[in-house]
Amino acid sequence: MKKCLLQILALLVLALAAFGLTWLVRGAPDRSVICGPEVLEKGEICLAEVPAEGVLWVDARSRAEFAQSAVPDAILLTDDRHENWDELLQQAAPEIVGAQMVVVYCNSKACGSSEAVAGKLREIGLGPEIRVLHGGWKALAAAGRTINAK
Amino acid sequence: MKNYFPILLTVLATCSPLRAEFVFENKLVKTTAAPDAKVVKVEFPFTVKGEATKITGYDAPCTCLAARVEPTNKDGSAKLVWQPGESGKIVAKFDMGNFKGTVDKGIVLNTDQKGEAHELILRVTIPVLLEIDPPTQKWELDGKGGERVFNLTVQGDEKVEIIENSGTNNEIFPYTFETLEPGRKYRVTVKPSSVAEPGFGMIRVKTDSDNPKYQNAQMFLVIKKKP
Repeated sequence: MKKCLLQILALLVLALAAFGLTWLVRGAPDRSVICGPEVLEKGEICLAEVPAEGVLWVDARSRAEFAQSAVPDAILLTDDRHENWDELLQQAAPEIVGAQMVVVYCNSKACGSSEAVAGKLREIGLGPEIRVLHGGWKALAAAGRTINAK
Repeated sequence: MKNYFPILLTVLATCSPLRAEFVFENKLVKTTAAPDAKVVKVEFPFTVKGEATKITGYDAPCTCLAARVEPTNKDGSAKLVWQPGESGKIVAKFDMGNFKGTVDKGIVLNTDQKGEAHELILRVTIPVLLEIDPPTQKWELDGKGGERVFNLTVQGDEKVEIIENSGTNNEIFPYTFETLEPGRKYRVTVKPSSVAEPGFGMIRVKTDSDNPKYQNAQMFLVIKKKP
């Protein structure tokens, strides 16, 4: 029994040593979102491809999440059930019209809000190109593109 | 040999060819909500194949979506361990709020099988009661200008009256509102006073619908340089 435990311990130590060595040689694990033509779905854009100017960031998460942390100068426009879509749209519309590109993000692919909001904005046709950020909030956070509440 | 037994056991446990699998009849369920519905419920039936498996988590990233596994255990708690051949379903309840149009909402189901995560998608179409065609009218900056029309049509069997209308920029976008068929068809005609400057405006309408989701709608007006 003692031998058994020693061997398990030896395996664990070896695994930890390999992990530590990899960390030292190759650095911390890469948590960025992999993005490229092979993973992009229709209407999506990679964070690296978002132009530096003329872009309006649209946050499709909940108001509480938006208040906590967001992309600088982003506006809230969400299909969240606690919000009045028409009122939010009326507030957002002047800024949308003035932008060259609108990039919508939400928490993850499964939340579905960025696609819903982007689809609605395309349907309304206010003018700018409408894209969904691939990787959403995870991509922004990994790239350090978010700010906390003031 | 017996000294190597734990190592052998560890290796075998990691490389076991037996896998359990949740097999879903459909991972994408499409549905259309009734205009007055507040909640939509759909089911994702599944069968377990292979060996016994355990659900380690099921998560709906949208707060609008609640998920549960059925059937439950006898004490009403969630049944997480499933035997081969057993069948069940993931029940999703979507709270729609004020949004109209088509939305995809996902549930992620994780199991104790390494690398196995199922993404279940609920595609709901929430009907538009007052259709506005087109939703936006655009004029080219320094272009010809001219009159444009919005057609407003009430969808469904129930009549919905437009009880109020107002513009946000009547100086640049003066408009006329006409009732073609009360509770059914309306028309809004806009002719910008000038297209020499970029401009933006909205015409808002209020209806007598009991459902807050359908009480407001808007048309957009844009004067912009051609891209």
